[in-house]
Amino acid sequence: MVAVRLREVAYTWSPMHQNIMNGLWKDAAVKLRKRVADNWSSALTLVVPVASTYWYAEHFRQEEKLHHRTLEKNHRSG
Amino acid sequence: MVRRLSILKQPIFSTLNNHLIDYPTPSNLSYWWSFGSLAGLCLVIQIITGVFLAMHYTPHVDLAFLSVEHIMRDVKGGWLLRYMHANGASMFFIVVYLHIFRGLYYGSYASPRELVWCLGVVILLLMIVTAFIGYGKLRQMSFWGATVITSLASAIPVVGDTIVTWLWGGFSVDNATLNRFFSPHYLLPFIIAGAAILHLAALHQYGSNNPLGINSSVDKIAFYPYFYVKDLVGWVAFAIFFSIFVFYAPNVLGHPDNYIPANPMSTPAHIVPEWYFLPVYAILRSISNKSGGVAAIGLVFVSLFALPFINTSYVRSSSFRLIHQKLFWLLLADCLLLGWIGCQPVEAPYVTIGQIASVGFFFYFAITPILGKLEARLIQNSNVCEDLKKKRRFVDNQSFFKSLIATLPKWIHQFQKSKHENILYTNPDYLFQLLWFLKYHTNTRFQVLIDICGVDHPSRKRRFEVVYNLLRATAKSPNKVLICAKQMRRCRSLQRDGHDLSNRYTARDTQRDELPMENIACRERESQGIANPWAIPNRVFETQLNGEKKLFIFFFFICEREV
Repeated sequence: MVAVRLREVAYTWSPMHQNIMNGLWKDAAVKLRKRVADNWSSALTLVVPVASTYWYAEHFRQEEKLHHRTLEKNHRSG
Repeated sequence: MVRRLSILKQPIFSTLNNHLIDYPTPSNLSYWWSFGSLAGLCLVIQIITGVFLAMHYTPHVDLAFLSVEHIMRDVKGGWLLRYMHANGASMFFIVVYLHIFRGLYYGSYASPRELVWCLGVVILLLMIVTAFIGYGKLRQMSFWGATVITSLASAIPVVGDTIVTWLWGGFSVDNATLNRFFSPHYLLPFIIAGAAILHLAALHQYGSNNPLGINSSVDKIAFYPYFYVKDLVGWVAFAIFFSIFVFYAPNVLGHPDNYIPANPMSTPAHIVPEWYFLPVYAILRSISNKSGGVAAIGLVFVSLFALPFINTSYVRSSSFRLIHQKLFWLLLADCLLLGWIGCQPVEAPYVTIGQIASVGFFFYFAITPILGKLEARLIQNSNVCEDLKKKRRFVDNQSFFKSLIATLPKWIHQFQKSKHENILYTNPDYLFQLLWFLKYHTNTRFQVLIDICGVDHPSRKRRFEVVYNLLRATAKSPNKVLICAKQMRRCRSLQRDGHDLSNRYTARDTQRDELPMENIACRERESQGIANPWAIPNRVFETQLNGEKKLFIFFFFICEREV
């Protein structure tokens, strides 16, 4: 392990010459659009498998609940 | 000048200073790097609340449930301690899981940080054991969960049943089990704290990773105050999130059956562990054979341990690994699905989904050795690199400096290129502006000052030059440039050295040229309240004589000064 002593200090402008965090909400729409454009595929990769699996499981259980109606229908027609 | 107390130079304090205050940290760490310190905070919260809870808790089969109710109702602040401890465990696991997934995404497990990763997996294992044995045994869900999990040990051939009996301290989960679980539950957090210190020591051997996954040694800043403040922001956000659960929804992460005293004669319809165990529980249940399920759990941790050693990619961060990026999100989706499956009953379609999700989990680790090589081959075969070279500006040294001189004709009056150096010559009047431009402009970003030196040409009338050696931490070329401010006349601090040395060279004893060691442009700017972009050279610490070129080179200490 080598501990390195830093030989620098940060300089700042005086408060009269700078604005602090003035860019936080600036161009928020543009920033949001860029974030969506960069990450939509990753978000889809995350959400689609989870949502589709959950939907499938719920659909399967619903079909299972209604399975007796299908049986009855087949019995009557058969 | 920033003062350093002499106490920071004493043995123990100097270690703390080197690792917590002046520790060099990559300047581009995002908030995803705050989860490490948050995990430490959670551990401290658990230890403190746990110690105070232990003052009132009674680990006896007849009194345990009632003692917890006593804490909740009668002990002053007992409800807060209990809810902080219970929800603190959940918070601890949320923070640690996010920390792990951050490491997976940015390749923090990759060489040379294998030891850091392995120690992290050890900490995770210790946390799981601690949380399991601290879940209590005299509540309905805790009792049956402990019965199920401890009886898994019977899957071990030959000695399995003996081990289970030893764990229980009898033939079922009873008073003996409660005591022998409570004791290590008190001890293990301190073991975790020791492991966390080792984890930090291993990390500090090579330094933190960063979102780009590249070597960051050219651009590091002190941990204090920058990341102290950044972590503080994370801590405050965590405190708000934690408080919502403790004060508004303290039981939402728990199971309502745990408000029923344990009844060995009544088995709950669905036995589920706490939420943070659900993914592993789902993998366990996906294999119908008991031994197979236990082996699958073991394989999960073996895979985590082995990950740094099976990784073949030379690119760390998933920001630059498109296939791995998609696999990472699929892994995360898979883990979420496993967590959901873990709390579902063992019936169709959850069984099939759980089995597929378990295979998917191990698929990520199985494909890791192949993936790195596949991505490397795809990059080699692609035309992306060639296209980028054609499109980007400042392609090579010559065009970069041509563009720079064309952009700043007034500030740069000469450019000299040798084999290893690119030298821009400027006038002291424009030195500040040129340095500021080179440091902050998007296309230049020479943000690192390697050194400042003065050059004395005794044979010249205007003897002195000050040379700034700049570096930029990008893969673009050029990454180094020298800025030479010529035509300087006076040298106050160099007077004696320059005069003594120049006597070997010239006989001009009466000439005392002086060079102001403060940057001339800086002095002008200071009067206007604007600071120099870098520190000010102060004292000479080395002098070299270049006889061939007939000049002296003075290297300066870069000192700190207040603005």
